[in-house]
Amino acid sequence: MIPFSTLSQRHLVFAYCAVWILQFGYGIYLAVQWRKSAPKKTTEQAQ
Amino acid sequence: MNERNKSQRFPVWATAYLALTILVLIFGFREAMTAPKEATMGNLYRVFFYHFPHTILSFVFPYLNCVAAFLYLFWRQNNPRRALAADAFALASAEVTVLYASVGLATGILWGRAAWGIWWTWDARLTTYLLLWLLYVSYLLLRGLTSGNQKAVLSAVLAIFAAIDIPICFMSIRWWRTQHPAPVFGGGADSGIDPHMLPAVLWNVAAWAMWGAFVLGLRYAIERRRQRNALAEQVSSSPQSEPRPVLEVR
Repeated sequence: MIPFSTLSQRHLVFAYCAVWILQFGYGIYLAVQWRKSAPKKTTEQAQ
Repeated sequence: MNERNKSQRFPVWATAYLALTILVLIFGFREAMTAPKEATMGNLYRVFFYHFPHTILSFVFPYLNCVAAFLYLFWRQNNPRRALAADAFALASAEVTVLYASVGLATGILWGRAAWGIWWTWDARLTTYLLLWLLYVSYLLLRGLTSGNQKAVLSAVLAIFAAIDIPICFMSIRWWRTQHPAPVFGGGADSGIDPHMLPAVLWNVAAWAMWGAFVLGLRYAIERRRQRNALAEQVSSSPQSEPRPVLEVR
């Protein structure tokens, strides 16, 4: 069990939220880019 | 399942590594929350458990960027394929540097506001760290605004110059008296941390290093795919001619 009660200060909560938003936001952005960058089938391969 | 769907999926080992990283991140967070309260700052000092790993790692990724830039310049004349891979790695490491330095800045500013009562001060550490962030943002802007063969060469040169700021920034709290506290680790006889707080530091350094390696690898893989797609398009648009490398030696 994580004792969230130690997150008792406003600036501490902001700092942790900033880390998660920046890091996981970038992770989600990369996941989207990974899907977008998938090699497309050429006409020859489709046949 | 068609080929495109298959290529969109992460490899199994990468998925397993990501799952392990998330577990270590959760464990690191738990350790940060359960570490004992600090005598003067109380719970506020827990920002350190995220601020320290991000700042230390934001000094490591620029060196990877610098090495990749050197390798690009070394290989671009005689081995264009390897040079392309080095350029992709340089771009990936620069992006991850900006990410980690942004987190270092954000957590530092919030911590400073609560601990010192000010958002910012122009002391040696903060100024050189802001310069580091600006240098790597400039690197990404340069890549976005230029095109062709010049893009990789110019950005490689900038990467090598930008790396000069890293040792200056790292040593700033040892060389000069700053508003920023003296180093906690390796800062002399008065430095150090309570042994009960050490596991939280180590777990979070490990967790964010693992996450950093994951996003770095993924960003590199995306850039390599883009390079291959560009090459394939180049070849398919001129089927009569021989495939030519993207980098042309002149």
